[in-house]
Amino acid sequence: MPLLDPASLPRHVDRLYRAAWALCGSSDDAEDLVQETFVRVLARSRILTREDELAYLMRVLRNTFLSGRRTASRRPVIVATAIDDLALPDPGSAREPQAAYEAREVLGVIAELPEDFRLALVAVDIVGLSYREAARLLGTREATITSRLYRARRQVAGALSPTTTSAEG
Amino acid sequence: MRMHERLTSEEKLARLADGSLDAPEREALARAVAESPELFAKLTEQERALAIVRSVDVAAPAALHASVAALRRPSRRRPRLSFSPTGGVALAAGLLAILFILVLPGGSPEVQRAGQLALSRATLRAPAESAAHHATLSAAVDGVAFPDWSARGWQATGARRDSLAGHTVRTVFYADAGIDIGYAIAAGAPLAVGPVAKSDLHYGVLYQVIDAHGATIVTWLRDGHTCVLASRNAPASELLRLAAWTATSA
Repeated sequence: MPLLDPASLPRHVDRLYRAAWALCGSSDDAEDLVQETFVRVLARSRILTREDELAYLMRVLRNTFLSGRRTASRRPVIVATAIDDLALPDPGSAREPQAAYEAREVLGVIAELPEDFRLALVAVDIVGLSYREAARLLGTREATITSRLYRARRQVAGALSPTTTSAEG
Repeated sequence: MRMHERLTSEEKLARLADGSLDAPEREALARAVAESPELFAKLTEQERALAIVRSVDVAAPAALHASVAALRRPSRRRPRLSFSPTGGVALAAGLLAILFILVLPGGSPEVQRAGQLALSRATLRAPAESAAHHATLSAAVDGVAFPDWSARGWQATGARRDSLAGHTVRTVFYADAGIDIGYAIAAGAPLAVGPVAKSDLHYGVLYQVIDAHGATIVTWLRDGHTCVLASRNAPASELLRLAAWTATSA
């Protein structure tokens, strides 16, 4: 059985960050969530049995999110100021401010979805898992994933319709 | 795909939108969509939502990338006892680890050795907050004061004083919510820095992140003095934030 290769994990950071942001609704919480996910994953060697590494990482991310063990609440409030002081680059916002704004809005809408819908959409449309992988991840049937995804997309489309999106209105 | 799970037409639309519907069903549904304004509108809605979601291309902050990169190194290098097939192998791995730790300080660059001091135990009481200077403690090295981070939740828990390659090194230890860090300041000329995992230049100050065999060290200069923040359980991003705050506020 293949071992999870730590050297290959950094290539998934961006995708997991987007997934985490969509789950949490906050870029800061997303950063914490991804950080804690990798701390858990890299705490010891991991054997991949039924999943590829991205599906495995998504499983840990989802479990970490649901367990509510994010570290955000432990951080001193003033850290937000320190982030600004440090001016660490955010490639997304620095590269295309308008695109980053829209991304923030989109991820915010996803974060407001009911949890089952949100998890299905994040797993399939953001992380890129197959329906089968998403069903395994979320412990349900593919048909259920499909149904949740359909409804989730309907809500996203409704919330971001041209009449409700200020950027387009 | 398992279409035998009897998807509704709407659920099939979801799969048609993302291209995961099987070919025979895809063709049949496409014909139905062409004949039904209602199905067409629903498909359009699915495709639009999918396009919006897939357009999100926000990248993770550089600090997160750096901290993940720093995290993966110790895991790759350290043998896991749980995977050792026998107790003898586990014992050998443990002895090797101990030997490695014992040998490390003498043969490492000075900053890494200062980091080891910052990762060790306190031998002195923590300094009190400074009565004369806001946001600093009463301890300093050649006028370079240790920060008082109590307003952020980081309480000074202890201190120590050592000599390293002719330099006096003072260390103050801080803790917050189970996370421990050591802050060392070396007297005299800057210490030699070994291999670094990452560097950040911020407001003219170079912050260097060093992977220290399961711990993270951040080093930079304050008034020409080497400062070292080290921790076994704080991410590099947190150490960088604290280091940057010191540079701009202390």
